[in-house]
Amino acid sequence: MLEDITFEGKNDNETLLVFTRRHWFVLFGIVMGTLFASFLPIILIVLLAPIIIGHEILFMFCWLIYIMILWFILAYRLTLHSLDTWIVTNERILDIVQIGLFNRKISELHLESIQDISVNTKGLIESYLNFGNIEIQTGATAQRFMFDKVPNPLDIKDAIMDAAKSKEHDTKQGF
Amino acid sequence: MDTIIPYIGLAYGLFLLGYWTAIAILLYHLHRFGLGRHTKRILYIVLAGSIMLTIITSLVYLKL
Repeated sequence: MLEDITFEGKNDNETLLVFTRRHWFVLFGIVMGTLFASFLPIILIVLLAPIIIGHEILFMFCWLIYIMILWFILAYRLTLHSLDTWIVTNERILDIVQIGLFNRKISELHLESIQDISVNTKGLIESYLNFGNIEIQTGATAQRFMFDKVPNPLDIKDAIMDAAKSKEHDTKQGF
Repeated sequence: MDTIIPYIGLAYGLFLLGYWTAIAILLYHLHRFGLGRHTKRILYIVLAGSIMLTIITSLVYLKL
């Protein structure tokens, strides 16, 4: 699966080790909220029944327009969720964050700069579904790299640590 | 009711124009910046859902 993935600026000798995005549960609340909101006009049917009777088609038309707007909002959130990705290669870590549609931030961290990694899994749902935050402390500055609500955080942490050790070993060997 | 129908048509036309412009921007971002199969799947879901909703809404509009 990782072989299928390529990204802009990938070197020929670079191997993809981890490719992840936020856990699906992050979207659960958004999807449920949209579903709930799409049925809210039923309350209007009860409250405004005398006005609606005789204009049922117009009401249905307005309801559908409302659902189209909700669909767009859901699609927008899904797009941002899909475009926020974290990539670990044998050379570096890439943090790609889509803040808005026209606001994209790509941060890069070389494995040599890693000083400390911590995993933070908070609460019942995160523990049960096995997702959480990974914080990477870099050596030179107070800059922190954050993997936000990613699945299997411990496995990702281990993969980063292994890659960093391997890189350090290669550097010492003079590769 | 009959007097507002042409205005509804105009408003609906403008709405569709804005809606599909916004959807096209989303699809462009998913296609251009998306990595992996997951993004392609989202792209097709968004496209299929938008087409379906536009068809249903337009059919209801024609019944107005």
